[in-house]
Amino acid sequence: MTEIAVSLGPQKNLIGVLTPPSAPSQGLAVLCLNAGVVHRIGPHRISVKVARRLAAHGYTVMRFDISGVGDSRSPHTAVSFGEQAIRDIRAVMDYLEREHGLQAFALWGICAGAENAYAVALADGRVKGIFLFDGYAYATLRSRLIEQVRRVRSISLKKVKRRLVRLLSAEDPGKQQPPQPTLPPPTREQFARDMQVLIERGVRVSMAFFAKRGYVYPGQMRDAFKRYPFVEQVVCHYVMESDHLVTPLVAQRRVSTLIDDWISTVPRSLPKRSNVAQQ
Amino acid sequence: MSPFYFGPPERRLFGIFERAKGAAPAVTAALLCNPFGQEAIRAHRMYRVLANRLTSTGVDVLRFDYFGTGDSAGDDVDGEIDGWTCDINAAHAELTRRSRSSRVVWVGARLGAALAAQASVSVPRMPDKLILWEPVIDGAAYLRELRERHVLVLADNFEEWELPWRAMVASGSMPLQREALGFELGDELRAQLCALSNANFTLPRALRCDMITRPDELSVAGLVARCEAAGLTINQVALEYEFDWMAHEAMNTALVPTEPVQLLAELVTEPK
Repeated sequence: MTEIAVSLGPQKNLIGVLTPPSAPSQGLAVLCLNAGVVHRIGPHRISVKVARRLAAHGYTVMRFDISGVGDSRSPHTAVSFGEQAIRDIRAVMDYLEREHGLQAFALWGICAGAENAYAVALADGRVKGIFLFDGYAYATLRSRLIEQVRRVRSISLKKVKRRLVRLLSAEDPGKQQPPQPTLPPPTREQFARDMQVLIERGVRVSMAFFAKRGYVYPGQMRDAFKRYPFVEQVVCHYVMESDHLVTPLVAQRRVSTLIDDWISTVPRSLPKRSNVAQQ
Repeated sequence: MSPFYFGPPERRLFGIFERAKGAAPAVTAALLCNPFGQEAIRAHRMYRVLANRLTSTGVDVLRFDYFGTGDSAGDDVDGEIDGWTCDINAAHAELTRRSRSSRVVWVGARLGAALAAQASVSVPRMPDKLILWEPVIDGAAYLRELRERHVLVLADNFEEWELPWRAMVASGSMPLQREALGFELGDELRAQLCALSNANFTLPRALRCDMITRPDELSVAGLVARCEAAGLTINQVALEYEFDWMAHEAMNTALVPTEPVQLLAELVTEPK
């Protein structure tokens, strides 16, 4: 498997790595999106592992940094971070369409990457599938109750002390949080409308969550949207062995398997003429 | 900024070469050697900012990933110290091929410092300067620290939600021995780290060597004494800033602390 380092985008400011398919082409490109400020290899290199695994099954995979993250410079034209992320991801799709003749795209991302995948899927009809790990989550009565009970049960001297230490250390200017590259979350109604649009367009949506504040039991997404028809058409997983950045290897393997399952359902299209021969 | 792959087909390494800004040719070329695992993820942005600062002051810079790390070929478990040492030599050759500067400086952080020291004895032309930042000298202690931080992350992330991670560890479905903050450790690397100590830390070979440590760091004293006994003077530089190399949630910590970047830039560019 020979990967190719690329600089692309209108100002050649986006740095990425293309993993060409090492099996007969599936006619589908997969884009691995940045998880927050972690550069394109992903937390614990998960994007590299996923890219190589998918390429072995015939997918063309691109991992890259959006503007201002990792190695990609911010462009000279100034738009908001969220808008620029959408432009960058579409620029990568343009590149793959122009240079490799690919017309169908699947996007996957963790956290901010999930939010960007969702936004681009809404903006661009070439997106046929999205896999969202730790994307938008919505509370239910049951989730609020669970969180309240846990909050009360978890009060301990040790935790209070830890919180205090964290609060105090946050005052150190050297530990200030960098701006979070996320888009404002859609309201529940907006999310439901958006998802319905995607489902009706034939986009295959798979979502995965882990136990965290805001998502506390396996069926929460389904419960939160039980009145909405879209919820029957999306696949929703609860990855108990994972944390925010998919740290345990067992969680990384589980997420990779979920991505395999999802990608096999995403519609693909026959590639157009390719300007650059697949390697 | 030019991203590219280099090295033999069976060991392709990812690198980014950044040429010095301005019309004048660079007088110095810098090779930045990554730390390991989560520490490398933490250092990525800092190295990028350092590279940008260096190119602005007339330095050509090469950053790269060792085999089995970052964007380079290979899996996590393929990574081991002798191979990574050869990777530094390959990156040095690539840097000197691309840069016409006469002076070469290596910067190595944490395990990258130990690797750079080891690589410096086998590179055909020794670096003009070696900058070792908080070098990992005691490999067994480093492995213990990785394990402790890994357990701390799991406890922090899972216990709040009463998830049975300890039961998973006990049953073998979440092994700890081979994991270090999300990266898999191969048997060879673990054995090599266990063997790494002050007694066999390779003494660096360079015209000059700077070692950046915390002011209260005592573990380097033995190494410094060994170097001096061998005729190599180490310029010890104290850095007050405490960089949390293993911070897991990079989004909640300083990605690019000013003081270390400033110091490294000064040490790379200061005259011989």
